[in-house]
Amino acid sequence: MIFLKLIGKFVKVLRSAASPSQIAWGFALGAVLGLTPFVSLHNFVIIFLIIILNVNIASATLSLAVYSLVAWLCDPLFHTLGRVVLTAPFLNSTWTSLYNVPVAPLTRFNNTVLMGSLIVSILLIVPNFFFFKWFVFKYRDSWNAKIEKWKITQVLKGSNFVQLILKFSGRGQ
Amino acid sequence: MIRWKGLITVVVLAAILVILSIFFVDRWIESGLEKAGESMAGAKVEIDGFDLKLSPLSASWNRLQVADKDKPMSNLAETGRVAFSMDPGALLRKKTVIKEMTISSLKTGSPRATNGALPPKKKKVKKATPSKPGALDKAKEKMIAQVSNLPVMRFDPNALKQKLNLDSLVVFSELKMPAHLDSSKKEITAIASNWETFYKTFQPEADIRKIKDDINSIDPNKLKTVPDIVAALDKIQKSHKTLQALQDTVKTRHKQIDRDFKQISGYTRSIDDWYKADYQAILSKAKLPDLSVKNISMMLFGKSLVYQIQKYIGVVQKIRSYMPKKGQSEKGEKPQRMKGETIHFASRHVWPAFLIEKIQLSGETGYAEDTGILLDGKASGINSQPWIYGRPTVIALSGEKTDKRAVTLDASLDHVKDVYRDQFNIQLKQLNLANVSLESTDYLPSKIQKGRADIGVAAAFTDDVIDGKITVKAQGLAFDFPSQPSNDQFVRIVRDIIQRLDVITMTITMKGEGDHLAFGMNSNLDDQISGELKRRGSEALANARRQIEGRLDQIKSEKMKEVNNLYQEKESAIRGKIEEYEKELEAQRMAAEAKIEQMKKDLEAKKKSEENKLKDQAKKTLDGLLK
Repeated sequence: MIFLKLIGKFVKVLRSAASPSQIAWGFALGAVLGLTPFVSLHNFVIIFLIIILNVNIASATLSLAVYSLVAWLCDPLFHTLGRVVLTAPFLNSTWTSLYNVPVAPLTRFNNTVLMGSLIVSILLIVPNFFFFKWFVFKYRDSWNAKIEKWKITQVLKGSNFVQLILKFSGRGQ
Repeated sequence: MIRWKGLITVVVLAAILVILSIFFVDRWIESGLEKAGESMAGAKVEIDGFDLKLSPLSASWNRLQVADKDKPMSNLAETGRVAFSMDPGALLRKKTVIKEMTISSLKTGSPRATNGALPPKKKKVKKATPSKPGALDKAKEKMIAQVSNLPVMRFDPNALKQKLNLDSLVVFSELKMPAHLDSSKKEITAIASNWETFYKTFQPEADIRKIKDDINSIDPNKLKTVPDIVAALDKIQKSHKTLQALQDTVKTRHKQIDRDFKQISGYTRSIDDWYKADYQAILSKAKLPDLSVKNISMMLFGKSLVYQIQKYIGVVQKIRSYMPKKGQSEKGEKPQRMKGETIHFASRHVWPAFLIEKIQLSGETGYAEDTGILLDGKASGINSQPWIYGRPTVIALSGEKTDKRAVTLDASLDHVKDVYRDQFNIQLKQLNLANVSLESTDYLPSKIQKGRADIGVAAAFTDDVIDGKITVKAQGLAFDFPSQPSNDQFVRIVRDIIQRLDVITMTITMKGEGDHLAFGMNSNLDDQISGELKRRGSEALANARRQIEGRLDQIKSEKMKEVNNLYQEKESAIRGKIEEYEKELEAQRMAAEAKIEQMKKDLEAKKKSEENKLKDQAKKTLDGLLK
């Protein structure tokens, strides 16, 4: 049910009037929310940006859900990466200074999973943005028409159950 | 680029949040603290009049009640106004540092207007993981075991007066003295047997007889010529040599016999030690009470006191558990999925994660009609990471009342280094003992009617090693004994003495670690009761002891007679024979030497006579030649 709802939402976002850049930024920023532990100080900033900047909130929500699953799978990797970075001798003075700066300890930057996932999510912002921008263009230009012709799409569209979902997701006839 | 609707929404939401916070933050925090407190205390926690101020950052409340989960109609603790200020700089660095806290009107055990029990919850059944008992848990177990294993003292002089069944006591005591004396007899027999065997092979009679014949056969008067005398002298000197050789052998053997019998007679010198050991063995089998025992106070008050001490140990254990040991928190942190590991860096501020730098405390003991002692004191350095803070937690509390009652508490909890050192010193002066109920035992009164006590507790903990001492001096005592008299004479003696005593002193010591904890207790009651028991029981006890001594003396005399008779019999036989040989050989030697002497004289005389004869002959011959 959740999976179908997610697909419905995804399709709705792709077909919406929002510009590809807005959708792509939504995905990129949502990825940061999803990959890093949600209750963190930096995520308040990300949420604030998503709300006040003209980015697609639905794509950010979808990205949050998808990347949360990715984060769960990649947790040991984040822990290892975070540990390597936090215990690197040449960075020790940096982290020590940061540790003593007001507010910084509240960000929990010295947590291995948070540090590892934050690094990965920051590194992925720009690639995510360009990838999703390309993806939206591609979908709207060529994939949309092809997918509409797929038999599975026809069958699903004819299904009362799917119609009901589409109705709930605001795309029903 | 800016989503104005979004921005306005955020601003509006923030404004609403700020307004709500102004009106409701106190209530939210109060509710949050109450819930957190309830989950810890397991009973209702109520805070009245919570107030948070942002500038300067501080909080206060007017009243705090923590209900006692075991007695829901009374409070475990109650405070009046509590106020504290926090360091905002530390808070921004994820540290809670309370600069100064004031706690007023702290009370324990105060009555509640409402039931403090929490509604029953469905608890998830968790698999109980057996936790490793700590040093203080072991100390508690050890104390309980020591007191539980104390014998129940019974004293009945009539039982002592009854005739002891000495025959069975002697059998069951496995006496050492008769066994040792029997073995002495065996030794005497064995030595005598060795010498008897020697006498069988050593038979000098034939040699002595031959020598005797040789000596007797020579009659110096019949020897006329010098060669006859020389031949006889030679013969008799040979016999003399043989005699000397035999005499040497006999002398050597005589010395050996002396040595052997002297050694056997030495065995019996240990008889007094065997006697004493047997006496103690029979005493222990007879189970005669040692009336000089020093653990009477432990038997009397042990159970009552051990549970009190156990309670205090529990409090100390709780206090110490809140003061973590260095490395305890770091080592315990294991990375969990999606939780990660927290890496700590050097802090430029000596701030532990939680710190109360100073607490000013006031309160009172007791409640209701008796308001108790007004307390005043301070505590400093209460923190969650002592190795970062670098200073021990110090608590100093004191109070007194006009009726001379006073209490002081000094504690120092030093968990700064790997080996932690905690010290507690509590002094209670003129504590009112009126209506204090005592443990229900045959010996003790059910409660104290009146009296006052000075109590001192000094305890030092070095890691898990305890060194503690509790001194109690109770005076002006009056007790409430059960009206029904006891049939047990010991109980009667104890009651009499307790009733007569105006001052009871007690010293309780605890020293050691875990299983090796020694728990000791002394009291002036020890000497008093022991003295009284001795007085009343000494005659009966002395009689019983006399019986045992009499029986042992009898055994000793019988066995010694047997040993001495055998010794004398064997000794005279063995010695007699060797002395006989000695005598005979000496007689023969004397005879031989007398004859040798006489023959030597005869020989000399003969030599001279022959010489004169020859001289005369030569003279005559020369005279004839010259004529």
